[in-house]
Amino acid sequence: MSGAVQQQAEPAGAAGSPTVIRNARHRPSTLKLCYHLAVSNSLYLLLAPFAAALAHRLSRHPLPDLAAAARSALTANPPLAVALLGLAAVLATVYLARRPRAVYLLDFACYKPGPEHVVTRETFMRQSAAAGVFTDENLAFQRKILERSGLGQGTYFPRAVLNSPPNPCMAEARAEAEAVMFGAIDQVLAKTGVRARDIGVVVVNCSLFNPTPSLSAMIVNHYKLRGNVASYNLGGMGCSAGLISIDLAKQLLQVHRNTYALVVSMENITLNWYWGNNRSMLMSNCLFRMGGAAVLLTNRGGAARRRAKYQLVHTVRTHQGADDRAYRCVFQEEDASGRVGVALSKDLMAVAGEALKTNITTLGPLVLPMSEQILFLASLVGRRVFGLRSLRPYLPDFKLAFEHFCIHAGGRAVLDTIEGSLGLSAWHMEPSRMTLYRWGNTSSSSLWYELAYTEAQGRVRRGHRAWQIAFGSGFKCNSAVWRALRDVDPAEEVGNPWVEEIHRFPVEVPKVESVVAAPAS
Amino acid sequence: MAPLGSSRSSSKAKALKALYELVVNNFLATVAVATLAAVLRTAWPIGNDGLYGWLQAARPVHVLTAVILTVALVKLRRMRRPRDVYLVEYGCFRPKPWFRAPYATCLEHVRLMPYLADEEDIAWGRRLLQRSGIGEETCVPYAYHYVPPDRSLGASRDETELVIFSAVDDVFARTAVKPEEIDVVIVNCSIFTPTPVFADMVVNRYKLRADVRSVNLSGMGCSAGLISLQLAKNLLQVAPPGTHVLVVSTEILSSQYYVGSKREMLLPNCLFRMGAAAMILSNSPERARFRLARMVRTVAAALDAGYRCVFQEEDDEGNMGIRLSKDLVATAGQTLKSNIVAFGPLVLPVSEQLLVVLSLLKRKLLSLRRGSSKVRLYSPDFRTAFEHFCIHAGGRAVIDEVQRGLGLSDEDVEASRMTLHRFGNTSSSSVLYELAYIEAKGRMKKGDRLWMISFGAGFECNSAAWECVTPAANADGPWIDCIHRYPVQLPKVVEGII
Repeated sequence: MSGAVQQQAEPAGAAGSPTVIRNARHRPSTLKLCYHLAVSNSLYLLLAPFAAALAHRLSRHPLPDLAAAARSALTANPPLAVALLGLAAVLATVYLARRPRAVYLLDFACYKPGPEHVVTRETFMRQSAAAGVFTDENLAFQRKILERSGLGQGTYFPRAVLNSPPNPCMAEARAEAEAVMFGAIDQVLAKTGVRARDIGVVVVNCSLFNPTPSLSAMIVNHYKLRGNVASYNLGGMGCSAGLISIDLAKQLLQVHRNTYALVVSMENITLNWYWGNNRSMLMSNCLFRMGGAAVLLTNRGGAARRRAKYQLVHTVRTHQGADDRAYRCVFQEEDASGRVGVALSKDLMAVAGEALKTNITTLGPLVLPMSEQILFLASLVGRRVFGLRSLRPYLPDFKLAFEHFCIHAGGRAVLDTIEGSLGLSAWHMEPSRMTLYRWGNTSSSSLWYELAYTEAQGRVRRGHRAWQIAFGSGFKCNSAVWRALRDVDPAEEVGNPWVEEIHRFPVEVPKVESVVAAPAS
Repeated sequence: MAPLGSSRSSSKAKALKALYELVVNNFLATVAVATLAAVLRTAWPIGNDGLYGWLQAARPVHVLTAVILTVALVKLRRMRRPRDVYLVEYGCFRPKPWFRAPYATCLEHVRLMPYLADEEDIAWGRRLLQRSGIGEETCVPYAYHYVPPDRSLGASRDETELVIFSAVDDVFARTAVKPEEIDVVIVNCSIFTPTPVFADMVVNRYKLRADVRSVNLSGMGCSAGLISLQLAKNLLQVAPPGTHVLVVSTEILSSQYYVGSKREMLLPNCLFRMGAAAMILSNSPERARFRLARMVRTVAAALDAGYRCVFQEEDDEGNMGIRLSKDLVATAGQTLKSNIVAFGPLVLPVSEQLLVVLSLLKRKLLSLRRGSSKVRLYSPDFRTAFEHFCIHAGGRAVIDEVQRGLGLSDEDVEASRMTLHRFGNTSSSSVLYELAYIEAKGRMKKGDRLWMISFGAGFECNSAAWECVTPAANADGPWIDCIHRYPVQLPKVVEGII
């Protein structure tokens, strides 16, 4: 599949037979590819003549003569030879000790709620209407959002919100947290065979639900983890908190040796349903759904390294909070009637675009191949130094740096913006769009559902690089780059939430899906 | 009056103990001195010419290689030690007098809300306050001064901005570190978590850099301050030299006022007070005031008793509150003991550890011989390891218990008792108010060692050992307007509250 040209149906417009598009993955042209290969292997190309000359020179002498010459040089001065060897050993140790420890992803698991948690668009409208707090205009507004949201009919809600009447309370919120976290963690421990007492680091992030004692204490309690486990509970850090937890676990694994780190990302819907009539706060009701993921990282070598799926290559964190406009664009406050909700400002898309730009400005030099960086530099120099204003600013092609893209499924508009900004194709955007369709916006865990989709479609091969990027309140934009250490065979992925239904995907998601009006009852 | 003979023998015993400590604690130095003496005795006299001649005989390249190897080995040994972490400066929120909640105010407010508490509850509350060790100057947020208290999100945000920004302003005013130099910001607050969160608030207010790493810990209880400290230490150990971390510890009270009637959930209303503290930590020794030596964290959440002893939940009427269970004291004691058992070997001098080991052996031997024999283990004297102690001001009973268990004097726990009296239980920031007390009294000298210990929901117990590098330059701090009145004598029961 990796070598063939993808065939995809034309998106909504051509209503009849699907047309075949060549180069739907937007592969680079032949000229660009040759240039890219030449620059990436420039070191070898430059050194080749010297290597050839050296080989020619050495071939003049027979091999035994060379060996004898080397041996005599060493035996002439034993103390010096020993001292030099010792020095070489010390320098090698110093170099190896200074390198950061590699962090591997053993496996991850995404929580799949049972069928009793399914909320169709119709169920959502019925529950909202039955709540009796929303005005008719706001019900119509929510219907409109839902129709254009890109969410499907199989997303999940916790039972407290689906009950009639809904009963959000602390006990229900704890029950939801337990179901999601323990469901995901049980799966990941079963998949990897790691024992709970071998876990040395636990990082949990959940933005809107932070009980005392913390969710990380809940995990320590349920799984009877060690008394010296380094457990941390990140609260309120938004939809990009999953990558913040990964970054934190990476730093902690540099200090804690030979251990496993459990990272759990989730969000809690039960206590965060908005029961008011402020339009900017109603958006989150329509988009957020139940879900969670557990990731097991390790810095162990040997058997663990051989079983690991990915290696964490880079994490880049950007914080736009210094700018007031960015800081206020996702803001939790009370509305006019005193009800608490999270308001999304109209500047959200613009702020997200700026945050993305800042993030990839830092990430680009770390991951882009030299060929792209040269082109970018050339266009920059041309525009600034030589004043060639007519030269368009060069947009680096990230498809040469990554094979897979996991973009936080925050909403359809966000995905459209990023698709345009980065010049990605529908094939690259497929995991993100399908996750939004199948699971809704599960906040920080959506990136893991997207990676699970990529695996379930059999797209992941050894050496492939995946880019996870998420935005969230603050305003923060975080990226993580993973490299696959082995091929991932979907047939072996038992716990993957997509495997049983992957044959149904990809699904064509129309721009507008009608919501059947519930009959008056 | 004791007979003269016994006082002479007790002073002889003291001298013997001091000599024992000197020899055992500086064992390597003793051995080195003895070896040097033996060598000098046999090789004396060494002439300068002898040494010079020996050097001349060796080939220069050998000498050079030997020198390089030695330097490389020393650097290697230095590299294997993790980087030292230093406290550059700390600052505390200084509440203004109009936030005060004297006993009379507390009781009057409760009487104005008869739906909250009946006369029995008020009597119970009065008894609690009388025995709590909390003084009349402790402060509560604006929200609590309203009747009924204002538990809205807006009130909580106001309190947050007041306490956090004051503490951070204070710490930046006392140091030359600028906000642009902060690389990591860690904020901890257990109960209240808005969106965007406190760490983002700090980034926004102080215009921190775009690549700052922010971390916000929630739900981690009264020991979250030291948990944040341990996280900062781990991050600094793997960061390049010159990294600065800003740690802010607070507890926001406005939204967590319990409006039900269950006694075990009313305790936080009575005991918690408003406070916040900020620290700047670094991994380079310039401008440093304290060096962080060792930290030990003990998590008892694996046991159900530990997990449930401080638990946030709704009561039967649906009011949210924090329930303190009946076995809180027992759990706390056990967790404290585990923590001290793990912490002791890291900080106690060898002489004390040897005595503990000997007493363990003695107990083992005696139990083997006579079945189970109850020989009391030697309890090590932590005053040989530390000059000052900061015990989280969780409550009067807690401080008393810890004092008794560790065998500390009243001067040792004075900082904790006086902080409880002046500021109340400010949760995770209390240990820094206690440090401020010790410095305000001028008791902190260069080289003094300090033990900070705190415990809280989870159930967790954390210990941190500090060493003073530079004492405070001036007496400025949260105690500046009242230190001359301290220490005060705390009666067992405060009389005269109506």
